[in-house]
Amino acid sequence: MTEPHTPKPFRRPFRRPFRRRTLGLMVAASCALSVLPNLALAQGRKPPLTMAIGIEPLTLDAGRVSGGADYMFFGNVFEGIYSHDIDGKLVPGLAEKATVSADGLTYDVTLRANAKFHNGDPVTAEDIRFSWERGVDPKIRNPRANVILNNITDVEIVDPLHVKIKLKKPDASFLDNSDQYWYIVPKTYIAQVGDEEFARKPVGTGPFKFVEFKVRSHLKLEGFEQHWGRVPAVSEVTMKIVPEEQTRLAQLQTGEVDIAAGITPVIAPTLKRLASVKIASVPTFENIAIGINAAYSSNPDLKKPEVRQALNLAVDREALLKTVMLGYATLSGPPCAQGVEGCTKGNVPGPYAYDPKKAREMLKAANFDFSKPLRYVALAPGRAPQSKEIGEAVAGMLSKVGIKSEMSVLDYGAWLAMYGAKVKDPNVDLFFSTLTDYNPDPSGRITRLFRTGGVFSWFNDPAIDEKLDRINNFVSVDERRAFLNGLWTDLHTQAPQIILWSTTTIYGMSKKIDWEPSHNVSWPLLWNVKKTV
Amino acid sequence: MLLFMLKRLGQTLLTLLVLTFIIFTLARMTGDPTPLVMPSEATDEDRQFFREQYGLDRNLAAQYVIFLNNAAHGDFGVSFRFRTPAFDIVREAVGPTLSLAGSAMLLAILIGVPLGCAAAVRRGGRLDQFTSLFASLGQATPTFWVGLMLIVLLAIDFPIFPSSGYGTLAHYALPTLTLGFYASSSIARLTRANMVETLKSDFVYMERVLGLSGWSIVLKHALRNASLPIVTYLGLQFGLLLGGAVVTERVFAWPGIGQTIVDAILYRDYPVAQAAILTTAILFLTVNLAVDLIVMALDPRMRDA
Repeated sequence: MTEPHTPKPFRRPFRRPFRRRTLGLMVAASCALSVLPNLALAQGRKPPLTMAIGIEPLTLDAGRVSGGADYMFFGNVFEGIYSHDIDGKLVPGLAEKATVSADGLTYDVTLRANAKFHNGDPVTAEDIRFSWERGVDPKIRNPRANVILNNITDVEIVDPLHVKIKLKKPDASFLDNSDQYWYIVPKTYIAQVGDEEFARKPVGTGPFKFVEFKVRSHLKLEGFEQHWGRVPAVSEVTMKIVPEEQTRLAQLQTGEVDIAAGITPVIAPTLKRLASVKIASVPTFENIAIGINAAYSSNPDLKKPEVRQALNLAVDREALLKTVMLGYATLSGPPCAQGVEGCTKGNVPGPYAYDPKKAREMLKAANFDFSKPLRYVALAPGRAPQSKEIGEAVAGMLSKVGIKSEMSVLDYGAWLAMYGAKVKDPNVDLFFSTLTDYNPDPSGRITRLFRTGGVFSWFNDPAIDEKLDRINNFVSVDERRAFLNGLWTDLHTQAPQIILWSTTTIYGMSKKIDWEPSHNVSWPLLWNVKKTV
Repeated sequence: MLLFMLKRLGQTLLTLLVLTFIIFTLARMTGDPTPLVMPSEATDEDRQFFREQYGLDRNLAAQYVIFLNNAAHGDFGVSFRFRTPAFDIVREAVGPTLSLAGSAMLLAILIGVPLGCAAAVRRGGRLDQFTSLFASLGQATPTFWVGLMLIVLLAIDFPIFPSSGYGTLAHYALPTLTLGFYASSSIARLTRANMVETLKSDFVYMERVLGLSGWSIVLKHALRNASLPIVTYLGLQFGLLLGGAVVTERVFAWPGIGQTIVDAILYRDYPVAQAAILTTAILFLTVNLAVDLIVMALDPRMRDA
């Protein structure tokens, strides 16, 4: 057998002097490139910001916001007449000020003279009126018009910077909700380009301008230098859509992104240990609980308030907070987060104390049928932090007071279909429950959660229904706050859920970033991000 | 040859028709998309309007006929989630998927075929043992783990490549290595097995007797004979990579079609799911057709059959 063919020796493609020259050029170019960012900073140019997010907006049309991930975009690009500051306090947005009439039916709104749309057009009373008309236009079919816009009867233009907003019935939450449920859109621009083009190339008034959105790839925004007050300290923002949390973490470590959103409590300790990275965590208004099918379950025991209270006593929240959430949550007494209207620490009952002995006694006194297992529907991991683990831990705690449980895990789609089904499943006794208040007003959420027939309501109590029906019929914010305070206490006593906590939003960020994320929201508002190069 | 092509084309069209029915039925079996698409603040009227707008209030037979008719005209409807044409979303994902699958296959062939050949020639030797280990590891190690380890090693500890994303050539490195490792291991194993069999055959013995060189026998004659099942397998593997690289796409934030399909199913976005699965199927069938043609070119017996 002959030897295989031996290849000829490899010939150097370049002569030596050329290689040296090339190397020299490369070194020089590297040095030049490395100082470019510093030069940009020295010349007063703002640095760009890159961020990794796990979820992406589903629409760019301010008339079709459906919540959640959409706020990644809308919270930075659009504004309402009122807004919330970093601490969650209600502050004027596009309005300079607003006063409400004694009967609570008219809001007198004066607009900021220096507020502009991203295309340079000033924000006028015409735009406010148009934004309302478009928001309730059947052609646009705004799925959230019911929250505040359908309650408006007219937007009267007094002068270019002055409108009177007239309501059908008083609504003390009107200004709070105007932040997320009524974005102001440009009348002239939409008239020029049409609704479809507006949805493709939106023009808002927020601290960032829209540049580009590619589904499952990235969202690009540019700082709006002519903003009336919140001028960003970065030139542009690229939000990379990275569904996998570990990958977001890796991108942060390698410096490919400056901020990683959607960090779960389990990953947070790992981030804390890394030298190049820091974390920021802020409380949110996202409420986590184990829902109880009090109204429709085939197990009649769950209709009894004392059984539901006993279920609450059987759960050791402190232990869950420490072991499952690693401290990243705030325990709730009633089903509300601290800071929501009427829900202030000290003014509402604290979390149910862990007392398995008392729970067992109460269950016995209520003739609870211990032989029947409670059927628990958990949410698969990925959508809410530790959703599956919470169910497993609670099931373990319930077993300590003699309650058997059977757990099934549903993916997000199936779980949401079950959770919000028009006809609730009588074969479900307990289920993972989460719902967010988008601002300090809880009326929409708790009506959907606890009003008989509410989309997520598995509860039926005429006294609670009566209160929920009156929840917005207040002129005075203080009176409403006191009313809500009483309602929280009632809900705590009635225990329609095993009430757990409100979540914490965790961001990982490079040490070059100086940013205090806005409290109470689970989406990043980036106008106050500072980046040093 | 022409008859064969026409026959294959007919089979392909029939397969696609059956597939449209399966996709349509399975998509609807996931349940009503309304709770996932409409916000919880929406009224019952809004929800009903959504169903009417997308024809979900009609009976399934009517929905299927409309879907089929529109799909035949290249219209897959509008995404429930993004409110943009479903095919636009899929089209954006096809490029990244094809390029990643292509680069992974190329890497797999460049590693798997030579390794398999060498292992067969040096049967029982260290190289053969290494190939067995390589093949076992490649098949047994989850791609999720391989991907993350490659990120840690080649993006974090030794920052050579970007950890994830899509856009430049460098972005191909880690996902290609991840998928390539998986695919090359099975190709190496298959190549080895076929080469071992071929090297035992009479014609190889005869060539040895005639005094042909060892590598000439291996590369020119034995590999060509052993390549038929390998080429067929490569076609299948490529097809799998088109729609089945979901985990790799997720780990590397790769905007490909696999993740698009999974998301569309999870969120009950029927139009996108239907468009994406059908597109993947067409790509898969095209690859299969190409494989048949290559096999025919390699094996004269097939041309006469």
